[in-house]
Amino acid sequence: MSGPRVNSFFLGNSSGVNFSIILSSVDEETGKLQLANCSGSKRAGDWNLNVTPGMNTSKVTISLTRNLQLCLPNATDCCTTPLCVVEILQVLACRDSVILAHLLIQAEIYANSSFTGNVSENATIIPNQVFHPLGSCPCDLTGGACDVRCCCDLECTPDLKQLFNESCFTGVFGGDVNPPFDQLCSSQSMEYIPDWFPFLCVQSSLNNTPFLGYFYHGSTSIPRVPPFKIPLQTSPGRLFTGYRQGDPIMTEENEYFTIPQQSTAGQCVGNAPVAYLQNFDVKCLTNLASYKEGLPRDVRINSGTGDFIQQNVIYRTITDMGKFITESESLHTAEVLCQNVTFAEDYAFIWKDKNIEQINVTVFLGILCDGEILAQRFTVKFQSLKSTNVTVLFGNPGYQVGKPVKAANMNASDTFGSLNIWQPAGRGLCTLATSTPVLFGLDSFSGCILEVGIDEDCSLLRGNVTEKLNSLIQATHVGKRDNSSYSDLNDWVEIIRLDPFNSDTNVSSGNLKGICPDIPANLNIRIIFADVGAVQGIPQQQILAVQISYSTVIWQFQCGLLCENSTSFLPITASVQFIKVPAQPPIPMTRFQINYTEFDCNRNDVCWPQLFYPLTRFYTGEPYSQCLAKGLLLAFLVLLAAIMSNPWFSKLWNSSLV
Amino acid sequence: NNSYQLSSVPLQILFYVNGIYYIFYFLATLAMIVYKSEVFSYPDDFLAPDLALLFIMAILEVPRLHLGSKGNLTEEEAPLGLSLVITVGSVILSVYFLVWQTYVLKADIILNALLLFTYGLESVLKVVAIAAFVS
Repeated sequence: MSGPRVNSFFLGNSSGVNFSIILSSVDEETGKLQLANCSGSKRAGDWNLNVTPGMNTSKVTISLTRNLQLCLPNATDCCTTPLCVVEILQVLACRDSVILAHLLIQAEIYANSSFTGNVSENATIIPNQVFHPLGSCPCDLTGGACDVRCCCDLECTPDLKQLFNESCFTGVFGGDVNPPFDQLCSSQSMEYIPDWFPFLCVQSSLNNTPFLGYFYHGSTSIPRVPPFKIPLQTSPGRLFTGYRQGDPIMTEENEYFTIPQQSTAGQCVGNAPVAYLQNFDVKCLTNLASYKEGLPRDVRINSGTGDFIQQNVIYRTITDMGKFITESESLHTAEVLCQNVTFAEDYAFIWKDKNIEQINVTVFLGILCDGEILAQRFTVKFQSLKSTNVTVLFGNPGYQVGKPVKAANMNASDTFGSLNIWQPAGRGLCTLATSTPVLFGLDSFSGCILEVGIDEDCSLLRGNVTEKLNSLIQATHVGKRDNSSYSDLNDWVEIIRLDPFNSDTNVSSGNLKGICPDIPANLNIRIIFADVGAVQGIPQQQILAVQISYSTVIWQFQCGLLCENSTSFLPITASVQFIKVPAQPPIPMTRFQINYTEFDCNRNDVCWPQLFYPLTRFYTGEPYSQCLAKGLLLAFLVLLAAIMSNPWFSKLWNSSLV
Repeated sequence: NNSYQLSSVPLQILFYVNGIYYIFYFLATLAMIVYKSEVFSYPDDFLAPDLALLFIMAILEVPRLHLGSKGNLTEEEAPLGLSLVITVGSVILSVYFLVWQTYVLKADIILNALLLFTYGLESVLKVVAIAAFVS
């Protein structure tokens, strides 16, 4: 029974029975209890007796009627100590002075521990987390009272602790926040004991453990806001020595001369610089909303010698607008916003040696209306003063990146050949596609889309695809160098062709319609080149071999819900891959590096960085602390010897002891 | 003792040995404190008292030995008595390094035990010498 009330039952007929309660005491010496007699009443001290009679059983209730609040000493009507009531009661059931039943109650009642006192103003000092755990006794959960089984609880009196002494909580929860660590002399559990352990083991008590102190002392750094600034355009600075191939052309204000070009990602970039002696021909799509004028026509260009030349501009109007404009939306014939824009620009740079002599620009103007898509065309050609159409590189017979690969057809009469890849146009259909020559050094991948009906015969399809791909390769030989002459067969390498395996019979397609295996739809052109020598410091590259092979795909008719489409699409691709052989040899070691091996720890048994080990940490054979200790001891002994051998010191020594 | 020489030879020998041993003790304890501060982590403000007390001990040792030696050789009891008083302070400091230091290594125990033994022997001999000088 807990709390100040206890119930019990008296079995039997309770008519004529007197119930009484008596406070008893224990004899100090013998410890015997005095048995009471029937002369009690229903009240004894603070205790009350209530009987509820029943048929065969009666309920007997004994209750305590005093205040169990904890309060200050010398106060009345409350508990002065936590252990408030320690009393022995006897309940007697008597009939005619004959004891029928006897109930012994020993009561130990503690005060209610609800908090009604003052709040202390002192703040709890939180110890430094690094060296003292915040909860030195984690099982001390209730304040002001003793937690059972918590042996580190300070509120437990020793006689209480004795009750649960054998079953204390163990480990950190029970208050053992300083477990023995390995460096203690008394610890037995280490596999690896260092040599110096008998001398440098820790003998002191566990109150100061070193391991509570291992906190990370990270330094804080202020995050640097990345400066989202567009860097100022820096000028190359060597303008006045002339242009070399690939140098950007500069204007009078030392800025790049820009013409919209196609970036490597594929889209048009508005302000891309123009490289010297690099022709290009790009088409950029734009509409009225995003149309931007280029550089103004009166911008003067640095000619390379330091003076500036004017562009010679000729304006023309476009007659055939259909080549440039595609309409995207249906136009209302009513008021539409139209503007005069440039449809195409043709630049012809006349150059000589390292300078630009003249710039001739032809600008084609036209009217662009809202809702139309314009394909602007920009072409740049560098023309030498000597020849007007062919651009020749001075002093560079090898292939340059970006130049078309020379190909020849030795079987044909005019020996002129071409090696092309697809240049798609419009929707990308093969019927509309043109071809563009393979450019040296630029790996490319292009293709077009062939429309195939569901009833297509597979062998016919194969033949069709093969013929289309073969139309790209109109050559049997490829030139080793850019200036290979058509008359010398040694200047050419034969194209190695791996033709697709053509089976004449419909092997596996059988009667299946809409699926064709082994369609050679991918053309792979692999060109192997290498560096052979150098001319004027520029490495020359030659083509060593060319291989053409086909990869096959399985074509399957793509159905909609009900196979209503009449045609399906088969993409035909051509890819060019340039492979450089041999790999770059390692940079040859200088004679100094070969002969002078003292700093090379790999080829020497001893090398200087490892010799000065405690000062330089290259050697890993010995623990750093050991070596440091030995070194310091050695230094100390040397210092001692030096000091003691000084006659001044012995004079001082003698005088101090006299 | 001889009647015209009251100075105690064993005491003088002990002073000499104590001087040399103390230098070794000071350097060894300093090195060990440095080692402990690197390998273990000292709680706040525990390293400063350890180091300060070591240096105070070193500073006390010099006059202690000097006075003791001077008193012994000139057969005066005043310096010797003063040296004995300083020895008491040195003994307390040695006990601190033996027991109350933050981390006590076994080498610390050995060194301090030897030092305490030396101090004890010295104190006994000093008392005997003072008794000889006074009488």
